Amino acid sequence: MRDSVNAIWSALQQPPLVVVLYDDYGLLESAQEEVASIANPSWPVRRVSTVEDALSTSADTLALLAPVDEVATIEELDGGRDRFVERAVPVVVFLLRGGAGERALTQAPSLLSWVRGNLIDPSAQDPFDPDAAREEFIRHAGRTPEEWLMMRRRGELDGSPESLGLTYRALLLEGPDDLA
Amino acid sequence: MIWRELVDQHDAARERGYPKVEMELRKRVAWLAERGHCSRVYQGRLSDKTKDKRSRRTQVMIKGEQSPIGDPIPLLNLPNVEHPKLWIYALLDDHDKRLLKFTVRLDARWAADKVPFTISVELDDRTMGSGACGHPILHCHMGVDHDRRPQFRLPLPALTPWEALDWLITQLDEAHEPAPWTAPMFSRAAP
Repeated sequence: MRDSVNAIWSALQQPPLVVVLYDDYGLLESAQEEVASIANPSWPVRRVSTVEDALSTSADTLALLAPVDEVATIEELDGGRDRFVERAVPVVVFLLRGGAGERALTQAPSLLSWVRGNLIDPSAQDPFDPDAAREEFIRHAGRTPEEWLMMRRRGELDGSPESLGLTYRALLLEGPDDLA
Repeated sequence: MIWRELVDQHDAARERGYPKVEMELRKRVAWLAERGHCSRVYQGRLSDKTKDKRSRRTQVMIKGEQSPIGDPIPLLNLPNVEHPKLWIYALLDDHDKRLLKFTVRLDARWAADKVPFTISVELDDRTMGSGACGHPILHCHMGVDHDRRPQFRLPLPALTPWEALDWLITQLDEAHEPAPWTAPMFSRAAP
């Protein structure tokens, strides 16, 4: 059940460089906050906008690099990978998905190869198919989410953790109009 | 009437409990990991990425390795209890930007006499039971488990999921005290 949170957590354990794609400039800050919340809480966090600023942070600092010039940043990273090898805590580079920086990354094969395991695209890693989830629920619970919730409303469910988890999943799959 | 006021406060807390719920919960899981009370991997498994665009709801939970319905966090280094497991769930309404439901639940056995117990803070998504006194919208189950007596449902003030988790952790480890008596908010002049 790996998703982007887990992928970011795993990538943060593997310095020196992590690349996270984000969908919209308005979401950059929340993407940075999310990465910081997933990181080891003992790591100091610094937000920077250039490679030089990122390298000026101590090696045990989580540097969140949101480049002003994404293409120049990719070129600089591609040409200066040796400068990062001492880092105990990664530099996380945020690139706009589908933007110039991501395109530049695909044209820097050695850098791409270097960061490939640490390249996180949340939109690609967090798909949710409600039809597949419904089928999975029926396989797991032996009834539909609506039938499960009817049992809950009649007080027929036990208080086990299994019932609790299934109730949350049924409420997720239930349409808003179904709430009685 | 106090019970109806409590309902209003609980409903108001649904909006306060909506933003950044997973980040606030994750901070507490990170604290537990820092103190050696759980594996650090759970920080990376507390996720809000189960989003159903059709129902416009989001499920926050500890993602399981195999199970689609979430896993508990096995807690460690708590000498008074055995086999403690912590479940964290929240369900968000992304359309109205409010918290629909949450559960923060600990199941364990007392080390001294092996008696099982459960402590479960629950915000209901809908009114249940006969009324606001007997079945407050936000309450805590305390008992052997959810099915055997003695089983009590205690009313709680309007807590968010992470505040409920603060309370639960503080019952297990006093070092996690978000509001120590020595804090300025509690300083009082001598009588």
